[in-house]
Amino acid sequence: MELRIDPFEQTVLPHLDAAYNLARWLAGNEHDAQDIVQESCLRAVKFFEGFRGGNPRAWLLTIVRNTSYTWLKKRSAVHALASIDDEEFEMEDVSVNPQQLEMAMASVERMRAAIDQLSLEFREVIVLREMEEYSYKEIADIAAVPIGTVMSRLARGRQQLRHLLSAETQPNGGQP
Amino acid sequence: MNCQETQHWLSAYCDGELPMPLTLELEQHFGSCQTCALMRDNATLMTKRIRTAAVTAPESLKQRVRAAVKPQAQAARIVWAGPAWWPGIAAAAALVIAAFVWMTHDRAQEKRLLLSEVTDSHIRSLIGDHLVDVASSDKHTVRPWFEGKVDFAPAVPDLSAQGFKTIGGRLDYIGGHSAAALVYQCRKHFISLLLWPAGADENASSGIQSEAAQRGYSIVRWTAGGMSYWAISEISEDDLKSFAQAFLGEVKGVQ
Repeated sequence: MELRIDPFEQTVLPHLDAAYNLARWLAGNEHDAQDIVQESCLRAVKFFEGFRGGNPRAWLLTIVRNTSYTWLKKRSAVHALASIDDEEFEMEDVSVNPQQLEMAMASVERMRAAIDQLSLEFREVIVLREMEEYSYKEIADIAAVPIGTVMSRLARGRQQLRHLLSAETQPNGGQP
Repeated sequence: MNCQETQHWLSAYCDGELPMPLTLELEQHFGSCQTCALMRDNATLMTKRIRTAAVTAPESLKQRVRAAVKPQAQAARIVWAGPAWWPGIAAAAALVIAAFVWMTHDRAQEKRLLLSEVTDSHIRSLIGDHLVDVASSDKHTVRPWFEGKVDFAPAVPDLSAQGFKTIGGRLDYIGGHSAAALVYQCRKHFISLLLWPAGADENASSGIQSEAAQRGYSIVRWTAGGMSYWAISEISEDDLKSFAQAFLGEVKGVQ
C-alpha cells in the first residue's frame, strides 16, 4: 500500500495556519491575509526547487513575510514601514497597573486590537515569538535582522503592548 | 543584579534565551524582589494571552490554495514528459535501473528506503489529521495501549521537564514490520519517535546518530535495548539530539 503525496503539498501545505496567522498580523486584516497567503503559496511553488531542506515552516513564513511587505508597500502603507530608532526607548514601565493590565489581557478582542496597533517591527517579532514560538535565531533568519535586534524589539514590543493594553482600560491614556 | 538590570533582561529571560549564569542571577533577584517577581509573572501571563489571539486559516482558503497550487505543480512536472515513444524508453530504462538497483542492492539503499518511510509516516500523521491513535500525556495510558498491537512494550518516559510533552502514540508499519510511534511536542513542533525491534545484524545498542535531513525534517536514530529508534521532526537537528538524549537518559533511569 502506497500513499502518493505531492512533495510540495506534504512539505508546505501543513503550515497554512502559521502562514495565515503571520499574514493576518502583518497585513492587519483577514481579507488581505487570504490574498497574501494565496500569493505566497504560488511563489513557494515556483521557488520550491530551490528549497534545500531546512525548516519548511520557516521557509514558507519567510516568503509570507516578504509578500506581506510588498503588499503593504503597494497599498502605500509606507508610513508603517518607517524605520524605528532601535536605541531610543526606556525600559521602565512600572507605572502600568498589573490588575488593569490583567483585565485587558483577558479579552481576546482587546488583545487583538492592541497587537494591531503595535509598530510593524514589533508586531512581526511578537507574532513569530509568542504565536509561532520561534527561537531568536529563527526569528532573526525570517525577519532578516541580527539576533540582538530581535531581542530588543521583543522587549520593547512587549512594553508597547503593555502600554496599549493598559491605555485602553484608562480613557485618559495612562501616560505620565 | 538590581531591578533595572533585571527588567532589561526580563523579556529574554521569559523566552529562555539568556545564558545560564545570567538566568541564575535573575532568578536569585526574583527570590528577593517581589516587584520584579510580579513583573515576571505578568510577562508570562501576557505570553499566554497573546497566544490566544492567534488566528487559523479558514477552510475555504485552504481549499482555494490547494486548488491554485495543483495546476502549477503539475505544470512543473509536465516539462519532464517527452514524445509519444517516451513510455517505451522509460520502461526499458526502468528495467535497466531495476537490474542495477537489484545488483547494487545494499544497506545504503535499504536505509534510504527506511528514511523515506519514516518521513512519510511523520508527514502522513501531520497532514492526515492522524497524529495519534491514543492521545494522552500519561505513560500509563499510552504504554498499555500498544499491548497486543505490537510484540514489544515501548517505554514512554515523561520528558516534560526537559521541554518535550507527551502527546500520545500511534501504530505504523515501517520497513516491513509493525512499529510503534510515540508523539512528543517541543514548543509548537511535533516529534514522531518510531521504534521497532532491531534487526539481527544491528548492534544491540548504538549511540545517537543523525541522518541526512529528509524533505526539511531532521532525523536522528539510535539503538538501545535491542530496539531501533528513529526520531523525526521539523525542529533543528541539535534540538532533536537533545530530545534523543533526554529520552535515552530517562529510559536508562527507568530500567
